[in-house]
Amino acid sequence: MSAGYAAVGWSPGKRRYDAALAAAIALYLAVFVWTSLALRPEITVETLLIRGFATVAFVLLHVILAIGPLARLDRRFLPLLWNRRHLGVTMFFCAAAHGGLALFQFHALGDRNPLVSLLASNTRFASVADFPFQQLGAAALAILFLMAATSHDFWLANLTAPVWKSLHMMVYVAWALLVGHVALGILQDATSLAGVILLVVGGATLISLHVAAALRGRVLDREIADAVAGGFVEVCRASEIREKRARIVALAGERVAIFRHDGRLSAVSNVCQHQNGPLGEGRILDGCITCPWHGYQYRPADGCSPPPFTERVPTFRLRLVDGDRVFVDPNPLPAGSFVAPVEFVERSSDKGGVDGSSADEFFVGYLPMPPRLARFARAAAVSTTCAFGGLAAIIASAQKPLGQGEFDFAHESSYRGLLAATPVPGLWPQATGAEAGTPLTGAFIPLVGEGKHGAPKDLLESGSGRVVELSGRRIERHGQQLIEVAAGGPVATSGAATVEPPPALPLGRQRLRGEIVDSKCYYGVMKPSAGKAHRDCAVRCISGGAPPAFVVRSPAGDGERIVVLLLVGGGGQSIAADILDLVAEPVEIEGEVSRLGDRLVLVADPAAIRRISG
Amino acid sequence: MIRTLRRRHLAVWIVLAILIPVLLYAALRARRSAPAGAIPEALAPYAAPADDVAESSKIEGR
Repeated sequence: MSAGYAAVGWSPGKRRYDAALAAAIALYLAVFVWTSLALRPEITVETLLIRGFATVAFVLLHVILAIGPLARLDRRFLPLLWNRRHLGVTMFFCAAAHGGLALFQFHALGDRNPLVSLLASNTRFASVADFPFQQLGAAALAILFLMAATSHDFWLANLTAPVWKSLHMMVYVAWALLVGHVALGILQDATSLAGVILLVVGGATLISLHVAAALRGRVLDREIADAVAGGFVEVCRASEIREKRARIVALAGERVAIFRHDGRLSAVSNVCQHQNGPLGEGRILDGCITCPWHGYQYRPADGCSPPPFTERVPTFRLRLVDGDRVFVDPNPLPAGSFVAPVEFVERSSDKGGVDGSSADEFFVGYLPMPPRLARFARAAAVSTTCAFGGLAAIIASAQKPLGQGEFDFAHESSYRGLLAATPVPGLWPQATGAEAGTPLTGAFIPLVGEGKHGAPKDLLESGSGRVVELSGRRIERHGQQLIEVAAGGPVATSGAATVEPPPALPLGRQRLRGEIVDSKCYYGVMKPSAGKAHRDCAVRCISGGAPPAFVVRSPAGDGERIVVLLLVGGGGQSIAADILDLVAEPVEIEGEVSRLGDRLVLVADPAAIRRISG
Repeated sequence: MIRTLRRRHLAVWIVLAILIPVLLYAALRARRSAPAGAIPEALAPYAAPADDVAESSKIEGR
């Protein structure tokens, strides 16, 4: 509680809280990276980061959402509530790192603005199997951004409490969107049930905690409401209220906190003006009612915060009958109205004996933490940190194999051969030597450009049908290569070729079932390179000019084998524009297959490509 | 306001308690494995071992 605004009102407790938070996140990421690299050494750095930040943010969100009801059900969790904003903002930064990296990975460096690509690459909203899950994540991130940006008392005061509270209740919507993001995204690609089990356990825990906390409050409301009978209402016995504590009663639907302090009784609204904290669960410190959530203080007699603070809560008139029966006027007085405290003559048996004793520990973040609560908080921090490590190991080990493609991103090599523009841009490499007439190896290497683009058009226009020497990076999988032509790299054209590539060998008309992918990612640039998680990237790459490929997989259990065919339209024309909506889905294609060098080419009519159920 | 917030809070979680299981069920029911189909004889010589499946499901020795 402070009179002015500061970016962060640091205290030793907040520093310890943040240190524990940083340790938990660091441990999570370290275990996630180590386990992933140990089990899936083929994983790329960007996939590691995307998945690591995504999962730690999602775990943190569950912790954040659990703290509120836990603190209502068990007061020992209140110290975790004190600095929950730092937890929320940290979680947002982790989520933003995931979102930013994913946006770059799957949508940037292509033929469209990444944000447009994010919203438009997949519009199959009517399909559960192909639902565009990335939009759900983007919507959740937008909500989390608004919450993180306004997660400060400056905004609470300026937006007003009702608006601020409503905005921050949107976290429940964000959580639901993220459950959808996960369930309709990575879980649909996963082969392990671990992710499903964790999601179910996390969701069930949160729902149970929140419903239990809410029902507990409703029981309190109902019990006391029965006693309302107009005028002053008898609510309790003064002797039942412990010294420096309160009894909470519900009158006319609102909760009233009746405090006992130094032989007197006062009643105020139970709702703290800061964040609706339960004042009646607080206690009197330095003569002021102190909220258990964030330590905001009010004088019992008039409900005003002590100067220089300006918060005020409504007060209520009290009567004491027969020296012990407490009656309350259910009509609240305007916030800050003075009501003379009712004198209460304590009998010896009424002594609460709780004033500052260790048996009645009370936590306020700006004061030293009571010893027993400190022990509990330390145990909770250690347990949570260990749980983070365990969760990281489980989640990382649930990742399925990503394929053994290679992308030699850091190393450019020189390639020499006959440049062909059809059926897809590619190079027929020469065996050895630098002469135009040197024999070809018989291999055919498709060419792609940098980012999510096809081979450079100027290269194809000037070099097709000629022997060229170009600079590029090797992409390789299944013993077959692709070349990413280096932008601006040296290209030498030797003139018209005096060697001919081998003719295409017809393999007949085939009906095949499989998945359309983009060849650049599939052969090694991305991992994963297929399936729903990679769909939007594949759309962007194919749209940008990377040759589409069709991956045919034999049934599992028979020793899975894979055939990869370059996919082109009739007459060797590009089929890209017609298949974007079919990428990463199970489809059946009937067409003419031929062997071109060491590659297979499938010539198909896009109208004849048929979706099949999984 | 606080009573409204409390009621809204409970209502939100009851709605979530109903919707989330439905969403999970629908998502998992729609889950599908990578499409598989018989590789025609003419293409069999060009097939490569799958390199993106768990070791336990691979043919021994490959």
